Amino acid sequence: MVVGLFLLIVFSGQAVPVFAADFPAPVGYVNDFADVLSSETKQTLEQQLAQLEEDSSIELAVVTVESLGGITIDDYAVRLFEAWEIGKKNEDNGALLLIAVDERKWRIEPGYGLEPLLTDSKAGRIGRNILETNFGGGDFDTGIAEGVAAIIKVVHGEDVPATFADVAGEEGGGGVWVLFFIGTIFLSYLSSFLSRSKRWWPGGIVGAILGVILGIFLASIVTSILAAIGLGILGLLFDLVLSKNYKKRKAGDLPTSWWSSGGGFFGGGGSGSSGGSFGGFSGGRSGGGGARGSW
Amino acid sequence: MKKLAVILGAIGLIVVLGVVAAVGFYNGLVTKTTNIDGQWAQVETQYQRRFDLIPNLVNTVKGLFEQEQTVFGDIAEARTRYSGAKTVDDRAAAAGEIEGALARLLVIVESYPEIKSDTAVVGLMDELAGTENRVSVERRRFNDLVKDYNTAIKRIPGSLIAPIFGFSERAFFEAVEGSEAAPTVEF
Repeated sequence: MVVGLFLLIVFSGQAVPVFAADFPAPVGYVNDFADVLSSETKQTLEQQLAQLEEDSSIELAVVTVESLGGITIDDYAVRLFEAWEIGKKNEDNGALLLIAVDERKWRIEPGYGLEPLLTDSKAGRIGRNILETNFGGGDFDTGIAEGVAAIIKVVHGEDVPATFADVAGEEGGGGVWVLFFIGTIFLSYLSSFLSRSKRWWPGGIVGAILGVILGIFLASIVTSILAAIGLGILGLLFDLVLSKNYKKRKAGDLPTSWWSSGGGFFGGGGSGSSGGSFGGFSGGRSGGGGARGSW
Repeated sequence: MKKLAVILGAIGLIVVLGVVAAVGFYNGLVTKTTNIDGQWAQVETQYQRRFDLIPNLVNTVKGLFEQEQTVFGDIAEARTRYSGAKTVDDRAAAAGEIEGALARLLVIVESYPEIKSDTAVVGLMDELAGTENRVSVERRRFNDLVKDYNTAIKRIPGSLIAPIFGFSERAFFEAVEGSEAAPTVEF
């Protein structure tokens, strides 16, 4: 684990969206943060949108906010889309209906995959003809319900958008797995080396040396010393466990190779999407298409 | 003997680790560079989309107001310049001019209620506004990637490794003068 940790620390630092932390997590397809919808409308919409995803895998998020916090609705929508990743990964078949109550602004933003169906002019027409006319009289229930119905109509009745198979493979996550793989191989070498030494102290030395290197990479003497001590202790414990384990396995006539003695922390991390109810959005992206307006 | 083996093993491990770290970092930089290029292509795609819209828009609107011919001239001129641009910088400059001219056109259209309510024009305006937003989104993402990359090669260990493999700083896509400021229209 020491090596894996080391590699992860040195190579981590992939671009993290600055705004991601500022958005609350989605509570469902309908996120009425501004509290303008009746509970019946919310329930009906939630069911409709769950049905939409089940039928066509399209994920449509409805979001009302009180305020945009000073940024434009275009910017807000695209960053919220980035944070929530509405739509299926690689298909990008998500869409966002965003309503900012204080600013009296709406925005409809399709994911990349829905741009051919939910075009800018169609989005604009839905906004002007349905949302604005209803919102003007303060009727958010009707406006949003009819707006969602219109969006569903637009994205329906046509073929499911072509899937864009990502030639480059997994985006983002791939690098971490490669590192994990490399880390595992080195951990394997390290652990068999340490357990075969049958001593409990070399792990501490290796840990301390790794700590110094880590500190050099991070360019700070203090971190270097702290890392050396921390990883040294970790290494000691690690070696202690391994040496004990090795002796036990030797005594019990069990295989002592890494794969059988040390594996087992590869838990299966499955992402389940439960049919019928909201199971989170799934990695879709948008590119700023769609339309906006105000009432 | 045993002790020597342990020490040699530890040193060997560290050397291998160092190499692996360098290779991993190199690959990371290659990925970042590729992502930047890919994102630039994305920006150009949106520019192309914008250019494809312009003839439609110009043809629809041109007949509706004869007295605003300069803005059409500006758009056509900037468009020619963009097509002829060789370097990325020239392209960016020409794209900025088109952006400015289009913004002026949008303001003009806004000021003619009879044109504003024309369905064809309204649809085109939506497409144009959507495209402008797409351009700014893809451009911001481009700049985010460049920033990420530039940070990576400037920080340790990047500042040590990057020069060896000839990785150098990438330029941001600065919004061109006139394209961000609100356009002024004179009648």
